[in-house]
Amino acid sequence: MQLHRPEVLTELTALEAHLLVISFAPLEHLRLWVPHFQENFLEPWYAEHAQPWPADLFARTRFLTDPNLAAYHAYGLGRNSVVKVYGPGILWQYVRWGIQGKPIHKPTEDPLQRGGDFVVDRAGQLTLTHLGRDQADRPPIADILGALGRLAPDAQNKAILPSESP
Amino acid sequence: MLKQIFIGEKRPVPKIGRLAPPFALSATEGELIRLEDYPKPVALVFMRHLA
Repeated sequence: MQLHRPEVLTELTALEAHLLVISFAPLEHLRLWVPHFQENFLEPWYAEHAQPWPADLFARTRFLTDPNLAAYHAYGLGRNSVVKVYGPGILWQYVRWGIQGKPIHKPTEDPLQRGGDFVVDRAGQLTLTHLGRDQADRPPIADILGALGRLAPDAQNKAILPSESP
Repeated sequence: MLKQIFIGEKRPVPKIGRLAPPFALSATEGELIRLEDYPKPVALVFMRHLA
């Protein structure tokens, strides 16, 4: 969600950066999920914060499917433990979504599969790798933007936003 | 079973400064996206199960 907030989109444009959002869900599931994500997570946030709806919201984003987990495994993303997946952080996130009225569905894909965040610079080298401690742990947006701009490591540590979902 | 409950499955993660592992995946529009040909810088967000 945070990667599609107005100030982040502006920064991505300034950096000439792009986002590849990768899912291990089958292509037909992912195609249905993208408008669901927009309707239930993005549109309410823009309405709540009285922000104008951007005409080119996904101009810098592509949604990719990796049902065979080939890319997940290439980036070291195996399966999490049951204890970590259903720890306090992720349970609290679901409670918050429930309070906010966001729909919570029983997962149809493997709930133990890990996610992660990486940044690739213009030379094709990794400038950020992040595997969360648990399912709710994502890197601060400032870290991602810092890595996209190839800022010094100490500058990347200055978080401007709390972490949440993509 | 107990290992999956408490430890999970660990795999080597590519380190910062290394070349990003290449991949070619289908986009929702049906187009094949190859990381090596894609404009950079680029953030890769590997999602967990769909919410």
